[in-house]
Amino acid sequence: MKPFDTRRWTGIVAITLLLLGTGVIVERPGLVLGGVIGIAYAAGSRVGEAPAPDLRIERKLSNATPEPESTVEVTLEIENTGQTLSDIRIVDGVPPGLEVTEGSPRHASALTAGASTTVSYSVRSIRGTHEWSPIRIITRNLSGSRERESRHETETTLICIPELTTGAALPLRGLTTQYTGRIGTDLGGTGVEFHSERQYRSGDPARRIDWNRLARTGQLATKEFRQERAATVVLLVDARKEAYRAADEGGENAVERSVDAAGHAATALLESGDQVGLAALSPTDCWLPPGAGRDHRQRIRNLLAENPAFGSTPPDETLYPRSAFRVLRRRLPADAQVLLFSPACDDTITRLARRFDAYGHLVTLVSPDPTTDETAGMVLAAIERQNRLSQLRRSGIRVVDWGEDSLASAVADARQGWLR
Amino acid sequence: MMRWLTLLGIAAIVIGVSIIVEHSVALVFSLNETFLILIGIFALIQGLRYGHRRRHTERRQVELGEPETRDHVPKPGTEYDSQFARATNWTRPSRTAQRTVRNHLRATAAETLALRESLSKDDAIHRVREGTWTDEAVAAEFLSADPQLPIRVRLGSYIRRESSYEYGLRRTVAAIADLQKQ
Repeated sequence: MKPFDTRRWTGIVAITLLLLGTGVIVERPGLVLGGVIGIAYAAGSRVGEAPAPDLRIERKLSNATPEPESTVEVTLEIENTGQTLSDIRIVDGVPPGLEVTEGSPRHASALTAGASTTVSYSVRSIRGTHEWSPIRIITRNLSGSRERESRHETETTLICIPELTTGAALPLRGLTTQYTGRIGTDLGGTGVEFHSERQYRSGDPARRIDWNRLARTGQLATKEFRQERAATVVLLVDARKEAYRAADEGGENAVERSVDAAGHAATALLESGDQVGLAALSPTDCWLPPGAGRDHRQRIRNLLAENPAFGSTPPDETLYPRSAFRVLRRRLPADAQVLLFSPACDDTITRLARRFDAYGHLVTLVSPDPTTDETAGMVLAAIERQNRLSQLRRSGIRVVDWGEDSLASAVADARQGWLR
Repeated sequence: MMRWLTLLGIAAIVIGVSIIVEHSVALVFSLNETFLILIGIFALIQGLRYGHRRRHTERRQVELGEPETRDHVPKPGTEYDSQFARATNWTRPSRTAQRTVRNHLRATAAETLALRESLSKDDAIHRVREGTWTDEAVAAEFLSADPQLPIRVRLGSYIRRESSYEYGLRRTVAAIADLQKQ
């Protein structure tokens, strides 16, 4: 960037001329002398240009792949390999998703040729891939009348991939596959829960024969149990610009909470034998077809942590919901349920949920609540969100309204409502 | 040009300093009093001109932002607050914003009422326009077909340095929230 005038000394000329003029008119040598000093300052401010820095900068992280919520120390080692810099300010490009917890990413000093300095600060790690932006360097001339901004590229990435732990087991709905799982069906067969009895057929296992009935009536009957099947579930995380909302400035936003919940749900579902897929409702494409097994679990874990669609800052682009719906419809297996994670802060999400439901994909909405009641506008937004959730419930869509409590507690509350 | 002016300035400083050190140097420059006063007036005028220019000059520097904090995302409803601020501006309220906000609140009140009391959409809109959707008199009047807040309410809000529109809006939002919680 070209150097520019800071206009810092613009007033000195006025003071100088006023002193000189008054001194000459009233014939006071002291004032004229003061004016002469002002002239020296004014001339000095025009001498020298803001220098272009020539620095060697190295950035080091104490741990480039930390666990979530751990402290990572960042150290910048700066060496001046060019001319003397009388006034230099350095600001590190901390990733927008990270917060500095100790120290400062800013530094101001003077660096003679060949001199070195160190800047260190700490950040708290948060799920995701975080890349540092270029370091901003501001140099000034001696009087501060000229300023120049330069950028220094030093690539550094922090990758934080949380372990997927089992949290709340989200109850699924009746749509199942042919595979054995945990969802009770209306079909009789093998299982745990008693379903019905039928006439004995040759080849039925002896442990399923109702011996009591044989003793009472002399007739052979076979017990049928409620068949339990697996489900195909696609976890759909709303990561549109409109979903990036938070109740606290700098706190966890709704998309981050959704991604955490999707991780818990994926683990629970995979452990119970369901087929699990992952998709993002985001301008950045993210799709993992339903699958099972340890490798699949690892793929989900990596996607949730590293895919830019699930980043902690909102995307710049806008998503067109109609085309996103068409793409997802093509990708979803016919028997797939949709576990939708969204704060439901706009009407688009209610329309999408209804359309998926109408196309036979049973939908359960898990909605992290980012609303507050600080102002009239915020109260209105909270009212509208509750109305959206009520409308979805009326349409037969299951809703988990997830406030400040744990997800498990929100699921338990929601189950009470579904049972009524 | 700037270089020449700088050199001229440096020469003037050198002469000035040398006069301070050796007074006899001043004898080289014989200037009469009228000429000196004219120079003084010229310097004063220029000084005032530069002073005026300084008052209208903003200092420039690189904006560094706040790299220490995470990027903030908005709280739900901040866009409504901006709209409310335009509608309730004390000196120049926007009539368009006032109409938009009132219609928006009518729609939200009708939707909440319809969901709460299992009414049809048309019935709920009718009750909002009739003012029978709430016991809160100010809110009912605010969303009615022909809103006219009583003089008592307008006077009260004026004393609180709050427009009657702002007071009505606040009470209406609270009334819709109460309706939803019932």
